[in-house]
Amino acid sequence: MAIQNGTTNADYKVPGGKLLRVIVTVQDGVIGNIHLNGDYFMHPESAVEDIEAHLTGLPLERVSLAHALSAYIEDNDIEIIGADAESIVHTIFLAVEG
Amino acid sequence: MRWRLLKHGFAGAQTNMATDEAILRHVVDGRVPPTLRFYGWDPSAVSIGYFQGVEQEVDLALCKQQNTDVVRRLTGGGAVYHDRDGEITYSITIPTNYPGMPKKVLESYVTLCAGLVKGFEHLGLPAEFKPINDIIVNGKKISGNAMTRRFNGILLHGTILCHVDPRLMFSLLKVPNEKIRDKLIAVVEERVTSIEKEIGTVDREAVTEAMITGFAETLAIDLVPGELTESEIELAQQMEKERYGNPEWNYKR
Repeated sequence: MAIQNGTTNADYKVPGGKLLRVIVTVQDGVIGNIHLNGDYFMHPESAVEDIEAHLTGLPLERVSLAHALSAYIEDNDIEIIGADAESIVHTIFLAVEG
Repeated sequence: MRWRLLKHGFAGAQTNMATDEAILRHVVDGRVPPTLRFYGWDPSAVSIGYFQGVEQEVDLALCKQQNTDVVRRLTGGGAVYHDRDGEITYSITIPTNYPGMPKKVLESYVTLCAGLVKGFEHLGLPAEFKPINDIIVNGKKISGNAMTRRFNGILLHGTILCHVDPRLMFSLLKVPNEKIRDKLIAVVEERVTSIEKEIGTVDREAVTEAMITGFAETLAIDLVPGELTESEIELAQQMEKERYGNPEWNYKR
């Protein structure tokens, strides 16, 4: 099923964690613009903008996106509490697949 | 170790958040000692976590109409309604290399929140820390806490709930849809408690003193009453202008 162009959002309560609220703009199967909102914790906080920028332009393919995100989190020593790469990707796909 | 104790009164949301950051930036290079601060919110305010979307979480029109401040925190976590008379707020600011402070974020919550747990116990309430960032009494939340680690320092701030009005809270905080508003209110009634609910009355001074004793005991510190320095006050004013009173910051997500 092709992912439609446009801006969409989804909320996902991470089991044992926090609430992720993703807003994502899709353009031709690629992440155009993305906000990883929610009541989670991330250290350092400014990393969220870096992660959002890193995800922009990546194709909406579940496995490769999960790999890219976990690698970025690990490489940059980012600590997320109440969410993780897997739950973030899950929420992105909840949004884009409707 | 000697710490500074600041017992501040009520202030606006922007000033409150700017002051916490100004202290953090002074603690890290030793210009001021590690600091425990107490404060209140006047007018009542909503603070949102660093990662939250302000439009997603807050009814901005109603907040404006009711003279309720809205501010984005330096810390993550959730949206909080800070009722003027319903909450005592505290902040702790220490350098990251404070002796004995765990490097792991979750572990440092436990170490620092132990002071509050002890404080609630001094009020006769059997409290415990509940990960990720809550303190509970009889299974219900009585304190929420949020930490940032920046500029080589740790800032932990949080609530001590004295009185909770879930209906008012959910009039200012957005709910996913109107159908579940009553259900959410019921959930908060069931899962959140307050000092008033637990012991019938609230003496703000006595609560603050209990917490001070709790922190002094668990951290083995001498809390010496003090004041903000001129430099901290100046920086707080600057932070208020650049950050917490600036729509660019508050509405950035």
